[in-house]
Amino acid sequence: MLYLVTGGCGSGKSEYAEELVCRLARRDGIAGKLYLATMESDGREAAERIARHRRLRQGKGFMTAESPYGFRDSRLPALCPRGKQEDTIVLLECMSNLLANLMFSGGMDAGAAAEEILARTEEARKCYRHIVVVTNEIFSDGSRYTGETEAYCRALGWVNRFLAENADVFCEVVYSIPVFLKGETACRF
Amino acid sequence: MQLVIGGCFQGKLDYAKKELARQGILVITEEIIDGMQIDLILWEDDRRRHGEQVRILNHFHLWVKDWMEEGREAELMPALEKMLLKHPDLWIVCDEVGCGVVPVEKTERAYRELVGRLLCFLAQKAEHVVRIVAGMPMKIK
Repeated sequence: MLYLVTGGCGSGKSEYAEELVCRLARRDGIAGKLYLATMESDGREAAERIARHRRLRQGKGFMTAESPYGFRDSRLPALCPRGKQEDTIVLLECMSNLLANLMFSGGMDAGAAAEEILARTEEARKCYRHIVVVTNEIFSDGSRYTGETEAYCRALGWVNRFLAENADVFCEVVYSIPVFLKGETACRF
Repeated sequence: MQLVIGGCFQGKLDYAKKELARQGILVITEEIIDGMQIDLILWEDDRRRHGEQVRILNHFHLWVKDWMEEGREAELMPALEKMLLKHPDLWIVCDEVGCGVVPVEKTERAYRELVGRLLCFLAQKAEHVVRIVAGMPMKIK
């Protein structure tokens, strides 16, 4: 199943997504929890953020793959227990970084990056038991952007809409509280 | 404690006042609360409920901003905990500030993040959390 978790900055969406993966693993008896970390460390602030996320994950049994380009990473299947993707839950954290990496480090234009993300997510969905994708609400600051930033926002909006439409579960985490837009029953444990 | 959140100009304070009025509590006077900055508006009722005054702390995010600008961010959490002990019936009204593009300014990024983390703490403690969109309340806790 595909679970999409969104939320603003500091909303607690990562903590919620991690907890969701742990609960799904317990409920369904799934051995593997694979954390796809997309954030590239490009300075002290990013390093602090990454360290904070590592602390949050500690002891939860995640295998971490530093994959700035997400599912493009060919090492992922080997990181699943006994190589079994069907016995693994993937947590992709997060879509806003992945899109930025493809566009700004990978040199892709916004449309091509978004299309790659959607195609690879659909493909991965067929392989792994569950996929939990964390994305980001960046759309409500009432500002006008131009150029690359506008293209980026537009592409992320498009990715979110497509994923939400195709996801089994979609929720927004509002200051630690999950507010479901679809599929709430699949998240009752 | 009750937490009311939402975008700016959505009717959050009106909602809080109406809810209190519905419970027979009239919110009339304006006052500034313990150690808070001028931008903060505190509404205080003229009656007492369970021996406690019911207060509305409006513009919570501006309090965070003011104290951060004064380099007092480390004092926010202890002050908040103390305030909740002192005013268990407090209503806290706050803008959602974390749903925009990541700001270029480091201090702006830190501000959004801290408001979010404090609201996560408050949401866990709150009896109810209500999100206001265009004046319409959605009870999310």
